[in-house]
Amino acid sequence: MALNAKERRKFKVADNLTSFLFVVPCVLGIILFTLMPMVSSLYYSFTEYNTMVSSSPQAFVGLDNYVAVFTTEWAKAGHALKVTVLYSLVTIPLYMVLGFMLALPLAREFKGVRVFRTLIYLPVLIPMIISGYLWNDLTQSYGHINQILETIGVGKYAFFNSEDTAMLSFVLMGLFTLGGNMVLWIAQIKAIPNAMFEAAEIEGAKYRTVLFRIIIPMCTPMIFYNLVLSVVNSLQTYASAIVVRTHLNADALDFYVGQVYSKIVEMGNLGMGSAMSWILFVIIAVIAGITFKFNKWVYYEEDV
Amino acid sequence: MTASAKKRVTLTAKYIVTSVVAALFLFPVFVMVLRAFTADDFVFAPRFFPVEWGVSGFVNAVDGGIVQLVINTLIVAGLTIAGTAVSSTLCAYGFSKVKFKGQSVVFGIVIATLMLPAVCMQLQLFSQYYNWGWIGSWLPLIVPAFFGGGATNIFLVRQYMKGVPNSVCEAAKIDGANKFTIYWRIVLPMCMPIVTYVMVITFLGCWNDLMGPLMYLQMSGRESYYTLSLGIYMKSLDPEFWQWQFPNVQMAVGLLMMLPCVLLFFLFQKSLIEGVTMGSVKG
Repeated sequence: MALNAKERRKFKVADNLTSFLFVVPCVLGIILFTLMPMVSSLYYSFTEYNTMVSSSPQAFVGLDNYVAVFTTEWAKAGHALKVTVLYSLVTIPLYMVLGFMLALPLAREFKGVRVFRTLIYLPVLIPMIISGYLWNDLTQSYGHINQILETIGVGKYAFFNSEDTAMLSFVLMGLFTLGGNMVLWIAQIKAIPNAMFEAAEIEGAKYRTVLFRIIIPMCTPMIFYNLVLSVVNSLQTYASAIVVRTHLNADALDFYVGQVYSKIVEMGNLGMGSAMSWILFVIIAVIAGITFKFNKWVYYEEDV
Repeated sequence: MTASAKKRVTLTAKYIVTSVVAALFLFPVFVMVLRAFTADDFVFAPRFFPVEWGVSGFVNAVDGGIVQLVINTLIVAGLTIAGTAVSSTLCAYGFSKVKFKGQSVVFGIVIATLMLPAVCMQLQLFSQYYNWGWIGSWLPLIVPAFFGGGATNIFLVRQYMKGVPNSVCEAAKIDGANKFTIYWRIVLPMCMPIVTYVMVITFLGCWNDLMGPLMYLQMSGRESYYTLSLGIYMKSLDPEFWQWQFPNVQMAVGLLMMLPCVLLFFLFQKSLIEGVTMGSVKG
């Protein structure tokens, strides 16, 4: 079959086009539901825009909003940023290591392993709204945890009812959702070829050698993936905090994204709120960029 | 000690340690059960175990209209699952089994959207939906699923599809099948494990979603459209449904909501756990 050059080019264009049609849904989706809102939010961040005054920006103010966040607004924004960054610094490594330790014994198949995994995963499945009610109830002075603490003689603990203890309580509460983390680790450990473990056994390797020479190096892609997504998510902590936030712990659980929402929703200050959200974006992008830059320790098989 | 005896001791130790850890994680759910089965009169003066057991929590939940909320949530979840399954597999096919100019750039952009903080667009998205007249309807919850179904899902399905041998597609092509037929008849049926994973994950996300309905449904006050999480939240604030402030009703609702999720996790555990690495195992 001989096609001349023109026909061949026509065929090529048509082929490209029909192939592209398959990804049209996500291209449209990104334009409509990601790009458009992001562009308008970026534009609003350079304007004075109070939604309670009028439904369009009142004036273009350049970088004023950004400057204001670091000067007049800094007392509040800086505090929220400090809370968020400290929380992330503590919980990202903590949850990662503990999730890994949970996964290690449960990655191998043994009788009843499915039940154990389900039990540990169970708290992840508690709906967020219910989890707020539950933890409020659990940690009241009459609640179940304080009843246990009283019985064993430790005495009552304030948990979410005090500025001093709320953050620690929030971190502890997060421990119960480690099952989500565990599942990711199990997946990665199970994906390690069995031949490696067999070879190690034949060579008479100690468990510690297997752990540090096989399991952890083979898990580095998951560590990396987990690290980047944890940074992105952790710096945006909001929903899990509002369900346990009250006037008794408002300062301790004052997360940055909460500040952004209250700026926009409660005060109608869309300009300032947008600027604050873009500052967070830059922080996340810089940290993620640094993580990508130093990923030499990640072991990659040949890309499939 | 003989080798087998030593092995048995290690195994027993493993079971004991794992059981203790599992019990620890079970604690919040255990308390949920205790609270849910407490009789009305004793919910605000709790002992560790209920003074009087009762099922009034469940009765009040059903009387308070939880059935309507379940139906609504199932409709939203069903449509979202359908949209996600169809559009994420279509896009994944477009990124793995066919070629077009600029493919890797477009794919890079899709993956990059994973890193964008939601807060930068959430409120603008709200005003966009507001202008389109979508607020107070299910459209903001459902329609985006039909446009790609989320970057993570596209990525996972694409990884899996790459494991489908190209020779199978080539053979079909020679037999005269077009790209869509190859997708629908050959590639998609071979990808059912990862599609199952995507569907189950989507269900769990929809079933428990609070932020979406809170943003897009709450303001309109159209109660007949409320989903589970939002309905529970609004009822607990509504004096007419004063029982919904009772911990026994709240925890009964919680247990009812968890039931399908726990079943799904137990049954689909293999695909839920291996879903994230399915592609790399096959590859």
